[in-house]
Amino acid sequence: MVKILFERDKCLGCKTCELACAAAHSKTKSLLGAIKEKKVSRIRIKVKNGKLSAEQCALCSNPRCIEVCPVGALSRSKTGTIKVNPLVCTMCGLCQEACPFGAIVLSSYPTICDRCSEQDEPLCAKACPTRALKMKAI
Amino acid sequence: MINCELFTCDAATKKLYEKAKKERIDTVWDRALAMQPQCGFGEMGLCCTNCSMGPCRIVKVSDDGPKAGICGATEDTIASRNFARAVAAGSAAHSDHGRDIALALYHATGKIRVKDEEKLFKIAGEWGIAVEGKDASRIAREVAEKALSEFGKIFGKLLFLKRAPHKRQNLWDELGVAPEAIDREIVEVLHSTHMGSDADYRNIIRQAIRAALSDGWGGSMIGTELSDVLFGTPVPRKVEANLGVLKKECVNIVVHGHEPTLSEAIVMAARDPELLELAKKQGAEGINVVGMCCTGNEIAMRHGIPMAGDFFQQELAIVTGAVEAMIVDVQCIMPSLATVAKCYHTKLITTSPKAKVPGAIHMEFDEQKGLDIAKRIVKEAVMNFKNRKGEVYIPDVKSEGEIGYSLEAIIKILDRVTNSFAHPSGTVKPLVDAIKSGVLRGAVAIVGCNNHKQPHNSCHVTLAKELLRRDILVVTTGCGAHSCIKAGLMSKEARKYCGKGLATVCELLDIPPVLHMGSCVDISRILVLLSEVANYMGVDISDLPVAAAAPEWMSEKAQSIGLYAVASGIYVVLGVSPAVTGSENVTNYLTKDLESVLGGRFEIEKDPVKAAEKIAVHIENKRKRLGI
Repeated sequence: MVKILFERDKCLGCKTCELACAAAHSKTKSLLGAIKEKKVSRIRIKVKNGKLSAEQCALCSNPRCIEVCPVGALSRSKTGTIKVNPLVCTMCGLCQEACPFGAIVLSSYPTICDRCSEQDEPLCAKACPTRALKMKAI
Repeated sequence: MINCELFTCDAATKKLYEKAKKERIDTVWDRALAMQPQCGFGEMGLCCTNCSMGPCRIVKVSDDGPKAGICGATEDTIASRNFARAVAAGSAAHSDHGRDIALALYHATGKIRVKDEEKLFKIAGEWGIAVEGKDASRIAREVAEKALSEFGKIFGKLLFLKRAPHKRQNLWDELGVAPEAIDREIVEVLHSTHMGSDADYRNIIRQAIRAALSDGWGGSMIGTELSDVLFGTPVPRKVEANLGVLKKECVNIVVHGHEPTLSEAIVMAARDPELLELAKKQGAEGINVVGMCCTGNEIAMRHGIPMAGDFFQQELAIVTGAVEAMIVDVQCIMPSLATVAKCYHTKLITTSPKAKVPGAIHMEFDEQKGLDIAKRIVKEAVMNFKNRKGEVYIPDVKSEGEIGYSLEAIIKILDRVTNSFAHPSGTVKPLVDAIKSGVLRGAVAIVGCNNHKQPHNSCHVTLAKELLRRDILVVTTGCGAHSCIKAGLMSKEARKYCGKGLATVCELLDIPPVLHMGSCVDISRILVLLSEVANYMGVDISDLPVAAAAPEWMSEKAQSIGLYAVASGIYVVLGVSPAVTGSENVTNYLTKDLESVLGGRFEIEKDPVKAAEKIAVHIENKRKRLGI
């Protein structure tokens, strides 16, 4: 499993991670492509209660999102990330409501961080100019 | 929804923000919240986009992050270049405003009579233009030509620099910061900050100082002085302020922006009997012109037109549902106005070829056909009266104050307490006497904008009250002036906030303790006043017990103003830090080292109470050094 650690003190709120994430999930692997394809980022840097926080799937041990899904569209993959079966998903939004980290966004179907499973390492961490986001394999 | 109690101290703003929320209108505060977090690189001035090898960002929070741009530019170079470019843009905006006024004067000659011939002759004398045997209109044309040549003359220095104390002029010459031609100084900043040019932050700031001085002692001063010539020098008068000045039964026209050429014409057009008749036919009781932002200051000072609101109230004016037209020219016009206006019947009318907004109606203003165009614009507003829809809500919040304290007006007031047998009139002697005796500890200019990083208006007002309590006279311009008049600080009752000394001075002179000196270009009036005082005392501006503060500043113009004030020898306290904090060297240079070079420096202090304490300490130190 791949964990992504967020060091709040190092984050400058530039949101480069968000851009890198959207680009990584586009067909052309580019920012322009991501904008054209309306790809949304699977990580968001927000201010909550005056503090910076990263909204991203935390790979819970008992994911509530999987639990609440009435049609069983969500499941855990071999690498530990949450997978969505778009053919089954009805876009009801219960998973989004259930997630305690605000990590799920409903775009064309629930988008959840996949730790960039097709790449060597998550591109958000790779793109972070201040190393506030770091990858850790566990 | 944001708790509006926290972000503003103004009652009208709170009430209209709630209406906006009820009607699902996004305002500046909502967009500011959605923008969080804001990029730290930009905030610290460490992002460089000056060439296409970039963007480059200096990472200071981790050891292995890049410490120089791709070209090798360091944090000092990048932060100072960004700062200098902002100053140049600010200087450009003010100076171009000055140029437009000079052009208006040039084209007006022979067609209309200038309002202040005395001032015209004075400027002609200062600039060495012979007046004998010439009529006012010919002199006006020559003065306008000379003013226009200040922007691009090939040799020599700016003419208005001569107004500064001799010591200051010599210092500028020694340091090589005396500006030559306004446009040239701005161009030189852009050139020297181009990729691969200047990399020395001290030299970059030196050039920025030249551009800033060409604003304060050049473009802005031309703007102020020639506006006075053309439209009249302001005299003290009473006006009402805040959004409560809108009238439900009238056609409401909000003039918003900066250049008085447009607003003067609109004010005249709104008095046209035919248009008034038309307004009555449409069911309105009359035409109510009100001013917003610096245009508001300009027409309030010259015509007593009510001051509707400041920078952060522009959207809320439309939210009342009572504004038939918002007529704008240049600077500080939020592009969001078009979106807000679409939700109501309000017509947003842009008038400057330099500032068009998608979604607005563009009716280009031309000084030569000023009144005709203004009448067409006012007619557009009148015909829109019947289209009002939804709830009209004008908060019953307004205050009254006395404004219009131009330098000339101040000197006239001082003459009232000058002993005409013993001393010549027309000097600043009584003011100097009051400062020397210690009844008045000093004076502070509170200027600047609104910024979501500071609670709206409350920083201006808190700072002003803290200073008044310490017997420090406050002068103000721009949106700082709007804040103060709304809080009642420009009324005579505001004496209750003053210490005993200041209260006595105000009573004796019959003035409010916060003096309204105009719009943001009118900060040049403050420079001239300081020069008069310094010259009278035989010292430099940097020796005077004075300071400036911009507790809620936001614009590039404010950065230019701040820097020309510092370069004129003034201690400037900023409530919002400029984007240089990523470089310790540049920050230290601007907030510490500059003082030993120019006598003035920046101070960054977010808390208005602490800012007042720092200013008081500064003023007392200056007094000690003067031996008073």
